Amino acid sequence: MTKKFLFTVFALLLAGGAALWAADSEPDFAAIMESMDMRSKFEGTDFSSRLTIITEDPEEGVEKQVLNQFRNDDADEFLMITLEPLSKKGQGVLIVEDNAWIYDPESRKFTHMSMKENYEDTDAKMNDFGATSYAEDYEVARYAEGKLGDYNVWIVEWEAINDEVPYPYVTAYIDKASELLLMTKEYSLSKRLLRSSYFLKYARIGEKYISTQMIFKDETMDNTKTTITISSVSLDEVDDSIFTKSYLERVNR
Amino acid sequence: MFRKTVTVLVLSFVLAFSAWAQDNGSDNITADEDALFSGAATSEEDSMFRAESGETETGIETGGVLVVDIADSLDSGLEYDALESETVRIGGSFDFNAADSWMWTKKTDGDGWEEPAIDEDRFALDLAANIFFEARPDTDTKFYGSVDIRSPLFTLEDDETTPLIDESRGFEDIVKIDELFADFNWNEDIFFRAGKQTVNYGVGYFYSPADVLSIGEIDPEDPEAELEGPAALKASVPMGVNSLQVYALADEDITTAADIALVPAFEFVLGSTEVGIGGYYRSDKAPRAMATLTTSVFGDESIFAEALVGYGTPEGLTLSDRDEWFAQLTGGLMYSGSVETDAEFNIFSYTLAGQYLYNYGDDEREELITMPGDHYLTLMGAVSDIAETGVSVRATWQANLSDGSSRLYGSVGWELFDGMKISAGLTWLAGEPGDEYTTLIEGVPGNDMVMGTISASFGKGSF
Repeated sequence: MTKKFLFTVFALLLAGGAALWAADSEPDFAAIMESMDMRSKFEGTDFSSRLTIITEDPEEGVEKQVLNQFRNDDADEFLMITLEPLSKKGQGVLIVEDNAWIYDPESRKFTHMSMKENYEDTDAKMNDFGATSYAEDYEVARYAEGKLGDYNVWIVEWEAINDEVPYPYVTAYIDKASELLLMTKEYSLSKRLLRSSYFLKYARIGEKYISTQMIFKDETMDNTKTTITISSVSLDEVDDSIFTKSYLERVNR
Repeated sequence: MFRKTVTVLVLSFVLAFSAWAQDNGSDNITADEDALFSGAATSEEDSMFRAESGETETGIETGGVLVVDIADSLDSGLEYDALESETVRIGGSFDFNAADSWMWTKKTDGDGWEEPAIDEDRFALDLAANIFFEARPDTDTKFYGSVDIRSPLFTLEDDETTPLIDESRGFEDIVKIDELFADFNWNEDIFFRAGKQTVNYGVGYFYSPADVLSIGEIDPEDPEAELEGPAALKASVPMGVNSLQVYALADEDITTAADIALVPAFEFVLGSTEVGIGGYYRSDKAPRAMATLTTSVFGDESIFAEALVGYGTPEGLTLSDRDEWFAQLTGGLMYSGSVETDAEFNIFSYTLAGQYLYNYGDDEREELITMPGDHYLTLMGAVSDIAETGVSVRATWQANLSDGSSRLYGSVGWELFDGMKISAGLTWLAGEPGDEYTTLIEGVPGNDMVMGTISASFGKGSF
């Protein structure tokens, strides 16, 4: 009987221990966000790819843009060049650290733009194209477990901790298994839903991930959305001369 | 019974402890789905993330494998995409503008306004186009040319019935080479541009004394318009985001090779500040040194400044040869923003800009027709796309603070739809007779003048 009692106590302690372990294994969202940022950052290598952007607007119709993007995350350099439409071929934006320049081929002048602004007439923000910095920009306020399609997800509410981000509140749906971001709901200061973003596909290159199919839906206007598809992904070295105003001037007309 | 009681107590303790530990393991994060303000995902959102491939009701291809592995050794060669083309690209822009204007000048006795003797009501049609070609036979070479075609079809004065056509205008008055140059490089280290080219060296918005390269001058009513550039050989050496540029400049009055001007310029970035330093040397002109600066303190505004210092006879002063220092200093601020509703509805976008210019060391400057004063100030406010209606309002005030004359220009424009825009503008020139802005014709002192203009633009666009 004593053995049976001791066994019961042992089992209960084991169960308690398991519960404690479970408590310890609660998601460390700070670590998850850092991991998401690290996996999107191509350190020690360059990154280039082609973006196809389809913008659907009930008033403006459907517009297609094709761009090449180049990243050197070690030096915090980013360049994007338009290939289509032909009337905008060669136009682009150069970002070095917190500075962004666009080049106007008409006046042949460089002008500065904010990272918070939309890229041209799309629903994509300048921030959407580079490496993410969720851990630096947001803290977790609330979370829950849930399902998104066939994926078990963490539903996490982020609150901005600086004013560098375009949206102060974000609800993120993170796949539990892969810790990849699947969907975000982005809100204004008054918590009005402004944009929904869907990250449907990812490419894995070594330990790095990049979303290759994204949809940005403008929630303030019906049926307005931007679809971005990324192809021709390469980690091959990009010449330093690419991340210069001289190159931006050179590829323009 | 006792043992069962102990068992239950231990179980309760363990579970209570584990629950306490769980609460504390999450710090201040609330694990409560009801507290989330996002609500559940919609059925369409769910369908986007199914394991099986499919399509949503709105036609989005969804599902399938979330992650695809890609080899890390692919060479995309994307950096050469925009540098080479099998075809020659042709493009340009077009505008057809009709404008009617009226003028009134203040009576010399100061009592009321009258139509001026020097000008009358006027209607004008202006047809303009720019056509360019761009050829990129290989990644190292580009050929580019563009021409401006501009023809005021006729000008109809108020009391005439026959359109006034200037028949003396020749081909060269209607068609003008805007740019014509070739790009090439040496080992992708030094990049050259040879030919007639638009150059924007300065950073000033309304005044740019450091821009010693451009032939054209900034129009305060249209400060972002392209300025005519010189024939030059430009060599650029990029050094990251910094760059060294050297221009060999053939000014329009050049007669011998010795008249070629050299303009070296170096631009570098310090934090969020971009600094430029440069010089201008031509054997028969005053040597000059230039400096430019652009920065931002709060992130949304742009601060810019220029300085030009020279020794000799300043450009434009040909009254006598002098050996003395002269300088032009300028600084300004620009701020752009937008006012939006919570739903990102754009109530209006706006731009505010101001710039001050100081002329130093020109005691003969007051004899000049343009920019004779020591102190200048220009302020501009523009509001665009008010309530997303296409209506824009702009006002620019340009003042010669030395003689007190000024020029105020205000306009309202409405883009009815793509290709159709109507505008109304009012220009007010204020000052004493003989001041800079009231002297419309050289040697003829004027008075305060008001000019109203209504114009319409048809089919303006680019291709």
